[in-house]
This record gives sequence, C-alpha cells and structure tokens, in this order.
Amino acid sequence: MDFTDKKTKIIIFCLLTLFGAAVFVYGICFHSTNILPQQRDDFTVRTASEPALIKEVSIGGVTRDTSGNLRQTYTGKAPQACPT
Amino acid sequence: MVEKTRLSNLAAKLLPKRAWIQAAFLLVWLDPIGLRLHNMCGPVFHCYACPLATFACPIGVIAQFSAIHIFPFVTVGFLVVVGALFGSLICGWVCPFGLLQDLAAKVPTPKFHLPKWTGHLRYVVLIGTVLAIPYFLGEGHPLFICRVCPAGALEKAVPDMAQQAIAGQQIVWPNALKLTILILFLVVIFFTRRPWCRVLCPLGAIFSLFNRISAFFIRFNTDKCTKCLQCHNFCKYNIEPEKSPNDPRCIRCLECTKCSFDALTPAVLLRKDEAAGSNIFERRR
Repeated sequence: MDFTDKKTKIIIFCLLTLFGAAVFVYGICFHSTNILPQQRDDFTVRTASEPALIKEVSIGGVTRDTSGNLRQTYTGKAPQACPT
Repeated sequence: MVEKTRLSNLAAKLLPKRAWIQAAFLLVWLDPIGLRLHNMCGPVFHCYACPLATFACPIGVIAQFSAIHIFPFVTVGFLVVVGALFGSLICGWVCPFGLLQDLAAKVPTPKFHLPKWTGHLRYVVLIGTVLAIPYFLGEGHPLFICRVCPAGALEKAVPDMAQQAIAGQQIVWPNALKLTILILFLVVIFFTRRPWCRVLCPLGAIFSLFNRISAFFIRFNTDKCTKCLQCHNFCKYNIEPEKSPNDPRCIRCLECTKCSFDALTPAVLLRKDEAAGSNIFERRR
C-alpha cells in the first residue's frame, strides 16, 4: 500500500479512527460478561461490564476455571493489587 | 529562505523542554488526587499494581483478558484511536517509563547502539508474552508479561520490599526471572538509550505499527534536503530519518526536526500544508 499518497493515508486514518471508536464504544456500552462467585456451591451469577472487568483483572480478581466459567478469585473485600 | 509551519515552530519551542513535558505528564499517570480509575486504560506503560497509578496498564489488561479468553474491546479501541492519532509520539513525550530511561541516559556513560534487528523483538514480546502465552497457558505461566515486566517490578515489587524492610517484616522477593530482568534493565538504561522501549516494549510495538499512517507524522521534503546527514547526528536511536522519517523504531522525540534546512518537519494529516513546496509527504524506505 502506498503510504506516500496523502489521500490513501487520510482514508486509512479515518477508517482506523472510526473502527477504534466503534470498538471502544461497543466495549464501554454493550460488552458484558458473567462472573461466578468464588464459592463453588454458590451459583449467583454477576454480570460485569467491560470497564468493571478491567478493574477486576487489574487486581487479579477474575480467572477462568476448569469448567470454562469466569470465576471471582476472592470473596468480600477486593485485593489491593494484582498478585503477579 | 526557510519557511516554517506553525507546528514546526511549536515543536522547536517544546523540544528543549521535552523532559519537563514528560515530567508534567506524571501528574496524570501518578494519580496525585487518588482517583484510581482502574476501569479504564491509560495509553502508557505504567503498572496498575503501583499504588500511584491513575489508570490500568493497557498491556496488563490485554494479557489478562487473553488469559480469560475475552476480547478487550475497550482497550483495543482506545489504543487504535490513540495510535491512529499520535503513533509513537506517546512513547517519546508522554510515557513515564520512557522518562525514566531518558533521565538515566543523561548520565554521562558510554552509550552503545543496538542493532536494528533488535527492534523486531518487541513484536515477539507482544505476540508471545502478551497474547499467546496468556491465551494458551494462562496467567500462571512464568513468562506471562506481568510476571517478567520490569515496570511492575520497579513500581510495585521494589516499593513493597522497601516497605517490608522498613517495617521489619520478612521481605517477599519477586521471582528470580523478574528480578534478573529488573537488574539488567537498571544497568542497561545507563549504557544504551531507551533499551526497553526499543527492544522489548509491547506497547511501543503496538504504537509503532501506526507510525506510517498516524495523523501526526514527520514530513520529509526532498527539495530541502541537502544530504548533509545532520539528522543522523540528531537521531539518538540509530535511525536514518531522511530515508525513513516515520520508521516503526522511531519514538518521535522529534530531535531530527532540528534540521537547519527544514527538510524534516512535524506535520498533521488533516491540515492544509502551510509551507510552500511542502507537498511532499514522506519518502518510503
């Protein structure tokens, strides 16, 4: 692709920006995930939006268990920081 | 007579103050008013485990999402928009980890150039430790990016160890690999410029992909170039700016725009060219 051509570059830039903005808005407004509590006998599912999930992963608060479900790694007070 | 654009003038004014601008951005990243906005990523390499972190680290989030097999729409969308607008300008002017390395580089020690091919290692780190290892082997793997990241070691593990030592508690050491990488990093930053950014930074790898198409770019004007190779001396990163002004390895420190003949100037995509004869966009490698 010829990046020296201004028109091509503007088109690519606009497409990328639109794509990025659309993906961002989708993630903020529409994307959510179900998270199971830490206790295996508790089946109360919590739905977390993506920003909430970002906060959870930033403290190592969510893991995918052997059955393929997302499960919280703590009960009660959230950890202060990511354990890694 | 050399005709300057407004952006060139602005860049010329800001260039000597780059370190101060990077330092000023610390007020954004170091969370001075305790916002802890960890449900949103920042565009810089700054560990979210650090007690002084306003935003979540985008690389940490991508790796953790990869480990739980969920696509990080917010983070990817954000990085695409920031990358499309600025490319690696973020690395050169905004990133706190870059500032640390820039400050270390000011220590008058012999500086070594890194071979050009080392720039590709960033993509290996991105694909390996941020995407593939977390996805296939989980976040418990010793090569999971956060388990080897020197930013995490420096911003979280070291302060924690200091705190434990002061409190007389038993010191919890980070794993041997992380500690080795941290020590190597702390030594190497005095002998080569921005080793992390240029060789290993996965966020730098993402932004570098946008350098050739971002709205902010460096324009090379062949008519004004006298082939004096002054720009080779300005560039501290072993790039030949006249051959590849928007090279993926460039961190956009803009030093090359000091060119006396204005052959290299900062430019913005959606802006009508101000300087006469500056219709030449950039030359491909």
